[in-house]
This record gives sequence, structure tokens and C-alpha cells, in this order.
Amino acid sequence: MNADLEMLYEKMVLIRLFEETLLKLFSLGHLRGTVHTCIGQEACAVGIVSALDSKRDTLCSNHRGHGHFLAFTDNTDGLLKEILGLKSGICGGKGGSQHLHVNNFYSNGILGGMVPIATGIALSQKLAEENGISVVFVGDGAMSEGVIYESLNMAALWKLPLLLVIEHNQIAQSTPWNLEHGSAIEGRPVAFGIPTETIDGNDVQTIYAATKKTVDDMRKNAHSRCLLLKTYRLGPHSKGDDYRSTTEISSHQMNDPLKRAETVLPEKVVMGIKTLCQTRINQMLESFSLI
Amino acid sequence: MGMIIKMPLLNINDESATLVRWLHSDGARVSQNEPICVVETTKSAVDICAEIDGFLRQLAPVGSTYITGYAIGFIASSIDELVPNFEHIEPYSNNIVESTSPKWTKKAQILANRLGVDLIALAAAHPGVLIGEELVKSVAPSIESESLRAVNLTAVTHLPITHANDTHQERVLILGGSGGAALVLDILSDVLTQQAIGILDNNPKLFNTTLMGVPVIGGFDLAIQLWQEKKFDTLISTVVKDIADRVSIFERFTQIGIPFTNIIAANANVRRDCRMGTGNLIVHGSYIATGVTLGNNNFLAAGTYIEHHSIIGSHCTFGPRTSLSGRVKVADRVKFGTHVAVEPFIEIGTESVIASGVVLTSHIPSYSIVKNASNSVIRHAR
Amino acid sequence: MSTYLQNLQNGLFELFSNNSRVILLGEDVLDPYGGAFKVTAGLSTQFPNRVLTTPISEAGITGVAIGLALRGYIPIVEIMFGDFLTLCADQIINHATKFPNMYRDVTCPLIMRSPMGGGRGYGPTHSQSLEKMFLGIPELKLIAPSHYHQPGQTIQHIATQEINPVIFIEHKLLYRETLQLNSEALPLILKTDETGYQTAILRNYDVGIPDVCLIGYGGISRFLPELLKKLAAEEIRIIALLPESIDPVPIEMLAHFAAEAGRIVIAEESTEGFTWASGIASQLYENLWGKLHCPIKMVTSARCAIPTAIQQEADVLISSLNIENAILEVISWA
Repeated sequence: MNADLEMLYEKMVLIRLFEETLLKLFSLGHLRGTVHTCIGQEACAVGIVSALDSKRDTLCSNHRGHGHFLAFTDNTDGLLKEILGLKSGICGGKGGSQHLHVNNFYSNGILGGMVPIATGIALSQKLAEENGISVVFVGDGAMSEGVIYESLNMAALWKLPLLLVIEHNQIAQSTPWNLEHGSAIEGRPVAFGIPTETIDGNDVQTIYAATKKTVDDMRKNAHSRCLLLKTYRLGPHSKGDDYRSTTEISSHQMNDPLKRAETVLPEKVVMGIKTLCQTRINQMLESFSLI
Repeated sequence: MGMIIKMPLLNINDESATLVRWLHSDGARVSQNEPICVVETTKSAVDICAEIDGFLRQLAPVGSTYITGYAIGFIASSIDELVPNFEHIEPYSNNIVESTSPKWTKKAQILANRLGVDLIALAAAHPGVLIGEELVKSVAPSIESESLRAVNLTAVTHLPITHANDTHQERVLILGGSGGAALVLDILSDVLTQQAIGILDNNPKLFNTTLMGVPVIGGFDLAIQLWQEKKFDTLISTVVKDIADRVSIFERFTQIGIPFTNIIAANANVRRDCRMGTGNLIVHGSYIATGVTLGNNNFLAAGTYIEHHSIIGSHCTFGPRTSLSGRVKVADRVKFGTHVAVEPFIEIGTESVIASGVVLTSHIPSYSIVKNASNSVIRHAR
Repeated sequence: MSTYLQNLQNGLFELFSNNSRVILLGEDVLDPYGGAFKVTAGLSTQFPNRVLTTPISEAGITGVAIGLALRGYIPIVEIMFGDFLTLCADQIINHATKFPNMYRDVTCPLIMRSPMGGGRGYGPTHSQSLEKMFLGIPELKLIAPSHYHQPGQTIQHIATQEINPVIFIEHKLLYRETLQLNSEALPLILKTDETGYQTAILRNYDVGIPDVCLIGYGGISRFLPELLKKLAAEEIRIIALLPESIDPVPIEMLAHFAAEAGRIVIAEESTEGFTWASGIASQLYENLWGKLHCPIKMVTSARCAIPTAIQQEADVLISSLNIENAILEVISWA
């Protein structure tokens, strides 16, 4: 169990350090456009993705997708090059932060827009009969987009291996979730006949375990499932656009998924992993002459 | 003579128009270019203007629709002039334009409009025939001048003779005693082969006066007596204001065998292989390029440029500095203003009038009056 | 001689027989109904696993098709009425056309099929020609065969040759028309143009140069058999060009033949303003500057909602008479 946690923790630390680096690079003027970080939500990315088989499963992500990408591919260099706008980036610098693709990973900048596409991919996986699963990440904000519900209907109707992951981070850009939703989000997939499980989104081990079980079920018997992860966005929406009170944010600091893992792991292991990841990030930056 | 007011062709999609109202009462005096009535097509209402001064006779009642060419009125030149007889075309019944069997194709109609062909007359001349593109083209006013075919053209290469070794000088009698005569006298002062022996003018006030030392000896009629007395060898006409006058003077004397000469200024440049008839007056600084054909009785003012292989008919007058590019064709009795420019290959029909400064870039049908630089026919003179 | 509809049905059958990666999705496409205009009639019986009837979710099924396209399938989506393509716009513009452009090594062979056009009294939201909303989108092609083309061949060409999204437009009034492929009355040449698709070239005369070049596409072809005959009787020589690829447009071929006439009319059924015709006209002006005898005349439908009532609809939609008047107008320029 701890071996799993060490692996999961290392991925979360790498994502955290990578994104903190992005914010620094942004401040220094090395990045253009916008960067949406998932600071505070690393457990969602790592817990879900670590339970997938990147060879046959596919992942559709969104504007806040660095964590999903790194957990799925571990390709820090390719991602940084892409965000820096280099021709050698994974999308040649055309995509930037929000539009990423390698192998079975696809992300795009239109909220909810990837859900029908993930549904189509799930259809292709069902037709191919290789027990692959199509996973799509959305936030609670995107859950107001109509096309998601069209997709859930088809996924349920055709019993497609679609796993909808809702990262419920309590906020849509600057608007709290209770100003956006008239009903509990978790009830909605259920209304389409899609079994939905609500999980503590900051507990990486629980997420990992629940995902493994869900994915196993789906492979045995193709059908759609939903996991709703209750989490909290510790960082801003993108950069300098956070109007939440420091009291509110600091009340969630104790629930930081990294800190939660650190309470379980031996301090020595934690230090070792942190050093390892920091070294990897530093080496990456050195290779780009950014430090 | 008065003029019939016909329902005009106002746009290509309407073969008829409605007479909305008369702007003057029957018998009222109207002036040239003054609006006299309003007609309406499916697209717009248009004023029709008087083409001459005179007295309005209303021939058609308002409120009805009339086919293009229908005589809706007459402008009498005098208060007692009678409306001439003409073949009446039935108007359309009130407000209803029936599509009767077509007399011509739409293409024929468009071409007729462009080439100045009277389609109604053409249809009347070919009853029961659908008038087509070919027929319209075949009757479009021919640019090839009638008189040019009859002209006895001789090859002319003008090399000024500056020394007198010729004992015989051609004795020239000048018709017209105003500015043109002065031009001729000035030209002849440089030319050793021709000599002016006198001037005729119909204005008695000029009799017994002299112009540059040459006497005005009487009216035009005197030419016949002087010819019988062998007092001169040739005539030259300096009448240019009214082309019809110029034509009738030329024809009057040539018909009884009195020849006209060509007067060419010493510094005019008539190049090799040019041909011309007689009666042409070519003023200083003109340039007639190789291969040009000139008919009879043309007047080319100073600096007229006619480029190679152009063909000019008879009785045309060119204002100063008018320039024709290569292979231009000009029919008879065409009047050019000052400084007209004509593009290559352009053809200009009979009796057209081209106003000063116009740049011609397309063919001009006969009887056109071309004004303004955009080269559009503003009305048909006939 | 087959109709436009039969030709398209046969083309789909051949395509499904020859390529097992082709999948069709759409509303009400199953037998016995076989789709609103019967284009898919019989297809679901023959290929039950590859013809999917879908919920009424135009955006959703477009996305599903994009997902299939990304994973190696060749999906054809039937959108029952072209008017509903607005619902698919986000999926087409922000997803399908973006992926091949911004991702590396990705193709997205999506085919969106849809009937467009008025004339059947379907009213304001079922009669439009909205293809102009999708013109000029990078990586998106619009193909609209006329009844001088072979739509069944064209859709097979798209499925086998195109690697990125295509919108395939079928005019509702063409379905019942007999294809005019070997019409003796009007000499027809089908020429493969620089887009790789065919431009139908018609002339209503045997000798001489044309008076007017008429450019149109898709449903405009239904006016031509009668109109060109009528104009021939009036001695008006027309060369009509009907490209089936309306974006990209074979501008070189259009300019080449339009130059013969020097007078150009462009006709389309969409509503007036910011039209396909205006885009073509601006390119033709650039290509034929100094060679035109008069301004290019554009003919469209009126800029208003398309009414249901028969006479009102006729007043608003482009008609043969509108085109004829435009032709006479351009010839009348001196």
C-alpha cells in the first residue's frame, strides 16, 4: 500500500513543482497567453490516471490539464516546450497550455466540448472490442454545458465504456459552485442511469483504489460510470484572478492532497521524493537556460 | 421642321412605359432640354425632355402604357406646323402589359440599343420574322463611309517645296472669308506651288475688302462665272462651322465639274503610302501617318494627329490637337471638338459629334452625340 | 437515368460495401423510415451495426463522430435539416477542424451530410442555406454537388481521399431531379479542377464566345436546364460553371472560363450579404482586373426569414427569373 502511495505522491509532487515553476516563468514573462494550474487538485489527476492503462485507455482533458497530462505521460520536457511555444513542443507550439495531444491524450479549451468526443472514442473502443476505456475530465463549472448531458444520454443508451470524472473544486473561475448549480451535480449522471460515486478528491489513495475498481468493472462489462471528486482549487483560476478570502483558502491548506499524503509517509521518504522531483525540475530548467 | 416625341427605351427589361403626366399644356411653347412629360417603367419614373425649341402637341393620353417607339407627342417648330403623318403603333391597353409574341430576341434588343438601331423600324421592315443578333448587326450603321468608296483617291506624299523652279502655279479660289481663309492664306505663303487668287463669301459686307492682300471678290455664285472665264484652277472650302453647309458647297461645285484641291501646310507631315481625295485642308503641325486614307473635303485643324492605317471618310472636321490612334475608322460628316483622343481600332459612325476633350474607348454608333469624358452616348441625334 | 437521391443512395451502399471503417450516425436513419429524405433507406438493413440512429442531439452526435474519426473510423453524420448545423458549429469549428491543425499527426475524417435550401414550405428554420456560415474555416471543406454531378461518386471520393472534416450539402429540391449527365440539349463537361473535385461546365451554344458566365453551385443547377434553353432562344450565350467544391473554390478554373465572357453573374440561394458569391467576386476581380466589361452581379435570396406560405416563400427565395434578369443586366452594360 505504501509503495503505491510513494509512487502516487511522487507524481503529485512533480506536478506541483512543475506548475509552481510555470507560475514563476509566467511572472518572468517567459510564457504568453494563460496558464491554468491544478494546484490543490493533484490527487484527482494522479489517483485517476494511475489506475488507467495508457496503452488502451484514452484520456480527454480540459483547460486545466497539466496534471492529467503529466500523470498520463510523465513528459515534463515536451509539455514545458509546448507551453514555452517551441517548435519542439508536443504540438509544435500551436497548442500551448490548453491544447495538448500525444498518443491517447487529448485536451482542448472548450468547456464540456470534449465529453461527446470522449463518448465517440468510447464507441470506437467498444467497436474495437479491446476493453479500452475512455476517460474524460470536467470541472463542476463545465457541468452546466448542455452537450455533456447529450453525451451522457448516448453513453448510457449505447452502454459505452465512458468514465466521466468530475473534479468538484467548488468554484468556476471566480463564481462559487452554489451560484451556478440548482441541484447537486452528483445526481445528474445518476438520472441518466450512470452509476456515480462521490469520493474525497484530496485523498489520492482512495481515488486510486476507487478508480481501479471502477475500471475493472467497466472492462468486464462495458458501461458508463461517473466519479465525482470533492476537492478544492488552492491556486487562482489562471493568474492574478483570485478574489477568494485568504481565510477561506488557508482553511483548505490543511487539506492539501500533498500534505495529506505526507502525514502518512515517513518524513525521510517525503524529503527524498521532494529532492528527486526538484532536481528533475531544475535539470529541465537548466537545459532550457531558464535559471 | 418639328420632331415627334417617341416613347423611349428606358431599360432593357421594359418594352413599354406608362405616360404619367404632361408637364405642359397642349400647344405650349417649350424649350430644348426642358422636361415635357413624365413616364414610368417598372423600375423608375423618368422625365422626357424636348429635343428642340417649339410648340408641344400632346398625341397620347396620360395613364396608359405605350410600347417603345410609340409617338406620344410632337414638337412643332412653328405655331402652325401640322403634325406629320406617321404610322401609328397601337398602345398597350391601360395598365396591362401583355407579353405578345416577341418580334425580336432579347440579345437583338440589347444590341440595337447599343448600336443605335431602330428596332421598331427594323421589325416593321421584316414582318413575321424574329429579329435576331445577326440582322441587327447587319443593319447597324456602317462605319465604312459611302462617299469614301466613290472618292477618287490619289497617293499623296507631301514634301514641302521651298524653291521655285516650277513655272506653273496652281491658282486657288478660296470659299469663305473668315478665319479659315486666313489659315489658307498663311499656309499658301509657305507653299510655292499654289497661289490664292481670290476669296468668295456670301456676306456682301466683305465685298471689296482684302485679307492678307487677297481680295474678296463676290459671293459663291461668282465661282461659276470665274471658272468659265478660266480665272482659277481649283477651289478650297474654309466653311467649317456647319458640316451640312460644308457638304452642300462641296457637292454643288464638284457636280458641275469644278475641282477642289488639297491644301497642306508646309510643316504638316503626310507620310508615305497615304491616299486622299480632294478638298482637304490640313493645317500646321498635323501628322498623317503612313497608310492613312482620307476622303474628300475634310478639315484638319492645327496639330491633328492621325495614326497609321486609319481611314477617314469625307466632310469631317477635326478641332486642334485631336489625336486618332492606329487603325481608327471614321465615317462621313463626323465633327470632332478640340483635343479629342481616340483609342486604336475604334469605329465612329456617320454624323456623330464628339465634344472637346472626350477620350473614346469604345465604338460610337452613327448619329451619336458624345459628351463628357466617360464616353457615353447622351442622346441619339436622329 | 437515376435521380440525385438514387445516385447518392447507391454511392453510400458502395462506400459501406468497400470500406468497413465507414459508420453513419443520424436521427431517424433506420429502416423502414430511412431518414427524413430517404438518403439512408435500406442502409441499416444491409449494415445494421454501422448505421446508428441517435437521440436528437446534433452537437452530441457530431462530437461522437469526431471521437470516432480521431480513432480511425470514417464517420458520416446526417443532420436532418441544414438549419440544425448551427447546433454542431462548436464541435465542427472548435474541435474537428482544430485537431488536425493544432495537434501533431492527427487526422479527423468527419463527414457532415445535410439537406439545405427552401422551396418546400418548411418555413424559417427548415429552409435556409446556411453553408455560408461555415465558409473560410481552416481545415474545413464544403462540397455541394449539383444535379450535373454524381453525388454518390463524390461522397465516396470524400470518404476515401479526405483526412479532415467535410460538410456535404444536398439541396432538398435536387433529390428528385434526374441527373443531367448525358443531356444532349446542353453540352456538359465535367472537369476535375484544382481542388480535386469536379466543376460542371455547361454551354447553351455551339459556336462563338459566351456573352455571360454564370457561376453557381448545388441547388442552383435545378434552374439551368430551362433557363439556359430559354436564353439560347434569345440568342444569349451562357457558359455556366458549377463547382462542387465551394470551399476551397477552384478560382483558377472559374477565372479562366469567366474571362471568356467578361461579364459574370454569381447565383446562390443563401440570404443577401456576406455571401459565397461576394467571396468569389472579390477573388475574380483580383484575377480578372481590366478584363471585365462590367461589374460582377450577385444574385441571392432576400435578407429575411424564409416564409412558409407558398407565394411569400417564392418572393423571398432566389428564382430563375432573378438570375435571368441579372444576366440581361450585365449584357446591357455597353
